[in-house]
Amino acid sequence: MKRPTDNLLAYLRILWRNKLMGVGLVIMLAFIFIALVAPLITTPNRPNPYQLRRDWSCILAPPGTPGHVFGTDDRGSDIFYGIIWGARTSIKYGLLICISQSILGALVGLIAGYYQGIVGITLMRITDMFLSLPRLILAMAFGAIFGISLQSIAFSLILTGWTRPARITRSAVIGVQAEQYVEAIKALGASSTRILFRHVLPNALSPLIIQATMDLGAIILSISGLAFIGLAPAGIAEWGSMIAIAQARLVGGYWWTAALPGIAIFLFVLGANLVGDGVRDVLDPKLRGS
Amino acid sequence: MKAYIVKSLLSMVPVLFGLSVFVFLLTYVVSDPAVMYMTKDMTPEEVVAIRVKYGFNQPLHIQYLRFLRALSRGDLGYSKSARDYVSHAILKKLPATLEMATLSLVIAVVFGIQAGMISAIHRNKPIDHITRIVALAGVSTPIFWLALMLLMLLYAQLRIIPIGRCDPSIWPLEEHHTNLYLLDAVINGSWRQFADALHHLITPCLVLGYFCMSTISRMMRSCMLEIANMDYITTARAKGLPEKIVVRKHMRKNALIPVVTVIGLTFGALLAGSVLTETVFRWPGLGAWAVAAIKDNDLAAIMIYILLIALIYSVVNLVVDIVYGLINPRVRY
Repeated sequence: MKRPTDNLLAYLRILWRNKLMGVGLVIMLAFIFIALVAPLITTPNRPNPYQLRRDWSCILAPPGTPGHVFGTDDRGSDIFYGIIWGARTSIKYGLLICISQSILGALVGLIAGYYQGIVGITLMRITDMFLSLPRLILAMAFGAIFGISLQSIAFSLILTGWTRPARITRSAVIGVQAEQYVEAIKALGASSTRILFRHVLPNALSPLIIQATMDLGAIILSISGLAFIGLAPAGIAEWGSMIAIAQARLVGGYWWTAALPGIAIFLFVLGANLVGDGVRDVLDPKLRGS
Repeated sequence: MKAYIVKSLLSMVPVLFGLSVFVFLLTYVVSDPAVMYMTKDMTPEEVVAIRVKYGFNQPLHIQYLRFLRALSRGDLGYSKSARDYVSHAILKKLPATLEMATLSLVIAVVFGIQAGMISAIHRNKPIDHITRIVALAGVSTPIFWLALMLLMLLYAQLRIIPIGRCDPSIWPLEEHHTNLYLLDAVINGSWRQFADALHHLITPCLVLGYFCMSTISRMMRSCMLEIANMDYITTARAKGLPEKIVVRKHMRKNALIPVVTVIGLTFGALLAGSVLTETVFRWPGLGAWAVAAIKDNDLAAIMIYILLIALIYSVVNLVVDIVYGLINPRVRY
């Protein structure tokens, strides 16, 4: 007989074998740790800790300056502080966007897959419309409407990011509905809601989770890209907008102002991508064992 | 096949219709479009007169039809950020972006497919690990940051690459016939201009190409590996076919089928990536224009930009669908 722990053990074994995913997990956990202890290792700025403090007496200090380990930018803002608090910004908004778009997409996909008549067709046409535009570009348009703030970046990325989860859920729902057990539950008189959430959704879950973890890296890149082109307020602890400030000082060899926040983005996205690849290997039965 | 192309073309219609409504409504959500024609010292009567003159007092659906009619006439309004009529600005900026995107795509497709194949053939050998790390780094690197670091090093410090599109001293204004500078140089028959255009083009294209290459090579690798387990590959080898033929004819051809779809999707990433690279490299294309337009609240430019990108993207996807049918004999329309 198969014990319930067998499955878990199998997953752990795959995890152990997949060392790259372990590396990704370590990177992610390190960033989460840094984000959690941010108020302990730096003195939070008042009133808003996410706003970088300006100090005109100490501009463009190179890394290693006492009090400024990673140096300062051309407004005297401490790069180390920005990177630490930027980790909070990235994790907070990254997860918020990733989870919200998956839930929104799953709902749309469930409805479109279950009611395949006019409702489903209309929903899929709308999805196609959103898919027919590159995401960053649509987000730029929404950003232009809703104004310059991290909230509007988040809102616009959610509004453009639900399409792929929706398609995945819809095809999973259609696939599951053809199964005999769904027909059996229907014959027993289960309600639509019960069928959808108890029997259909769990089967669509693993492709959804794969997609969500694979998307996380791309979302972080999109946030920083949108912040870089100026859709985030200036002078906040966000890696992309820190690089935007550095862009103004191209000449002069102030490499640290751009390089260090960029390395932070790179490492974080790398971690997310490694975990995403690993999760796919674990959950996707097609690739298991190969 | 013809019927399929017609059907795909027709399916673009509702999408583009939806987008045009969206873009039209955008002007009302952001602000009152009539404000564009007003100045501070106007009397209330004059303001009303402006509304009547430009039709802003009419019902929304009539205004939408007027908007469509203006679009079809090519009357696209005036762009604050480009300081030019939108229709003129497009003629200059679209070729700039197309030139960059095309060269980047060529780099990405050629190297991406090759890298993915080599990686899959030499699975778990050092060359596979190196290719995979390079590709993984490519999808994890913020493209604007890579561009900026290259500029700081190669432009600001070492002075070996230029920024912008060309050196005005070797490009007289009247010699831009098509605004595709490489083509212009060929038309002018000037080696110096060709070299100059390429010199300006190559760094942004390498950055953008690297970014897109990574996605393609990752996809190509996993498709090749999936196919390597198929029975017909074992059969081909058992027949005694040379490994070269097995790889080229049996594996590559089949692996390319899903990769073509990814290339279509990559084009979207390319257009989005071009926004960031153009901003950093001061490349006077559509992407940099859109960023300037958002900062200036230049609605005419934003509207046209979204419509134009949607149109390009839909056409590319149509081409991808057709190519898909051509290389995949299992799909018959």
